[in-house]
Amino acid sequence: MSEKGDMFYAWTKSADIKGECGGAVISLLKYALEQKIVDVVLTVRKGYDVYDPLPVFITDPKELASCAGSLHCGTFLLPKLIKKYLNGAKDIKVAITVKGCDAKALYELAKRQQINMDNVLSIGLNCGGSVSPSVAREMIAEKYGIDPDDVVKEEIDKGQFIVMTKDGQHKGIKIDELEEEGLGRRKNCQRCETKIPRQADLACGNWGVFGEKAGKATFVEVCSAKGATVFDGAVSAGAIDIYAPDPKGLEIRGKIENVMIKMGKKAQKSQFDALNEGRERLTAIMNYSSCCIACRACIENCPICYCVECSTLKPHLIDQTKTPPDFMFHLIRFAHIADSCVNCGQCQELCPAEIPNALFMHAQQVELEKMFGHTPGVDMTLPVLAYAEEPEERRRLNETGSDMIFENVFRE
Amino acid sequence: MQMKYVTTICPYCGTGCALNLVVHDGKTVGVAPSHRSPICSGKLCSRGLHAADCLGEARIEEPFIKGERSDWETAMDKAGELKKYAAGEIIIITSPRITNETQYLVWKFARSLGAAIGIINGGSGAPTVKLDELKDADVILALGNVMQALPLTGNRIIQAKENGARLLYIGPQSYTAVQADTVEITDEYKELPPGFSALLKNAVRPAVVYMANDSSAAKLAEGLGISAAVLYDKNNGRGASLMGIGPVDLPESVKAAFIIAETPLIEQDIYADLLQKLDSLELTIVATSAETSLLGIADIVLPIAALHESEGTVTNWEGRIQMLRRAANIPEGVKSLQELLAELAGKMGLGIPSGTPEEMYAALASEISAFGNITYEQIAKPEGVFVQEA
Repeated sequence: MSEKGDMFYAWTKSADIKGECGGAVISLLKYALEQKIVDVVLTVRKGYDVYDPLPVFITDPKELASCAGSLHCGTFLLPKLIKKYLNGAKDIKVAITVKGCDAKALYELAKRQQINMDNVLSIGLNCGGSVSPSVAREMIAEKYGIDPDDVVKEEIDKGQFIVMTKDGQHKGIKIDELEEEGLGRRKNCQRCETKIPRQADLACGNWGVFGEKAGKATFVEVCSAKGATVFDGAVSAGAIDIYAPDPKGLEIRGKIENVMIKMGKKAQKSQFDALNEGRERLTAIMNYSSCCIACRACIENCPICYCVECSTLKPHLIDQTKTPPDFMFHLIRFAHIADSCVNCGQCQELCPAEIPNALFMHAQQVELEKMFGHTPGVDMTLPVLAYAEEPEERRRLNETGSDMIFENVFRE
Repeated sequence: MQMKYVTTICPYCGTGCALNLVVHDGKTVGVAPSHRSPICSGKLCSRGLHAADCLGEARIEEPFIKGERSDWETAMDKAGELKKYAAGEIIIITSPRITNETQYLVWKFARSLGAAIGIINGGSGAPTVKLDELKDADVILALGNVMQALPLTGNRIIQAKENGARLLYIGPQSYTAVQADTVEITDEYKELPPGFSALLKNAVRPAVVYMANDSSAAKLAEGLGISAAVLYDKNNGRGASLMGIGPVDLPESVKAAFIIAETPLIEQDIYADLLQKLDSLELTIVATSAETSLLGIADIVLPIAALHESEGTVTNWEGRIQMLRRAANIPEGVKSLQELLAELAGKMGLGIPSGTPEEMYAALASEISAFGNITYEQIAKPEGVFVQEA
């Protein structure tokens, strides 16, 4: 019997499943659906081509084989779809594949009672970052000198973004080099520190799989009791085979994770530094935000936003007839979200006015984390604002002799 | 439970953003981004984000005669009375929202009848620049509030500005005016304000952006001799324009009108200027998927399929033909526009082409040269295919 913290090499025993690295993820999902542990699987499948991953809701286990393989152009966030279209898993059991930002979004939605975690089985997928389809195509045409329509497969390995063409041509370019030119992974992925999503019930990936097992096995870390039960069940049902991980494999996996976290911290520093501080930072944010068309795509797609009555729609706070809206629109979003931002990037990549919303929000989140010690998306701890009982907070402030929040909270 | 994404084209403006309609047990329940779209990369404006609601709201699902519920047989018999009128007494008023294929059928219907055809909210003019080329312009002159009318086209102007472009603006106070570096606030534009000419003349890659239904802007822009983005306000305005369908002209001789009114609720005032004239006609037939201000004056109302229940192609302002995919079934009691036109033509003893959407595209392509040498399969690519400019 496995338990939280255990690690394995695992691979499918089904000849029909052609996974990226052993097919263990698809086999686990298939086992869960076949055994009716879940009613539906929410995952991703290739759409028109490798640049077009699409979310799929699967109820027929036979369909799962078509979801095998990894796609790095999948930049969307899945958990909000559980809230929007599956009634928050209140009365349906859902298995979902999650990269780091998905896993964190799942927790933040659950904290706000928008998703019932009791009914969710989450399979984490190691993620080194994703590339927007348009950027990927532009980059492959210009930097790789390859017709993007000829690419049949792409992967990220050893710090390179590698593409394979239908004629069997391989070409890789260092991600660092691509990103220096503004290409490569999304900016929020560059800043990300959640590479192995241990918040999920199981965390799976190919890091730590080497030698003759490379490409044939999945490295699985059991992250919860629920994950252990499903994993053990899949093993005893004969859906997957397992093997104890090699110490060298553990070391490799740890190294990759650490290198990527360091890269994330470095990107945070350079991107946040470019925003400057204090008044200069505020001016930059105001300038960018002045292109806003108030389409509300940032709100629609944010995993933190869930209010039925959104404050940005209240006429006494925001003049609803003005485009661009007053800066208060953005201030309300900062106040409501910044302490819990999981840096999923949706508000930025889906902004028609090209406002780097995720950069602004994430920059504030890291500052708030320093002040209040709250890290979003790692567990079910409630955010800062949830702790503030207004009467009690007023009393506390009054006792200090000043009700100025600045005096009391921000002064050392 | 069955839940799927159907990738299609936004039913609103002429930019032609792709979006995914989320379909739950045959009903469209939401909109999800289509990151694969070369036009919008998943980004949508407030209209696109709510496309699923608009396609289903205020639907009409049975025929009406003089405001009273009716049945198809009676209503079509009555509509067949159109044949009593001479060719010069009939006008066909079409919509810039329907697919290229159905627009072609409407056009054929008008031609075989010998009747005049006109469009509401269409436009004219061929752009000499593509959407993505706007990003590379160094000076852009916007005539009117173009960035709000076509927000994802506005996106390229924002990107151009980030690349260092200068935005000049002539028009009323508006969102575009707020974004511009140099602004001339006016309700009419006949000539360039002082200073603008020099800025355009010194530019390496200047471009002018204006709406396809703004004749004074077109006049001003033509005189500049620079790259022009001519923006069609509606999803398939360019397609109709390529078929040579111009604005509606309602001479005194007209006694009967057949109107295709594919119009979302929020735009129902587009017929305001025509209502009185249409009301005075002897026979007004309206084919529509949803409620419109025309219902009050129509003699016969025929319910047709909405855009998300249709398959076919649409042409954005650039001339990019893209695929519109069926996300939901046509409700019971409602006909597709193609079916309706075929029946009406049959009743009137006219012949118009029929077949699958693909066969209809082939028929269109064989007759209208801009669509020629392009196959349906090519259009199904996320990039679509550009029409052949004359």
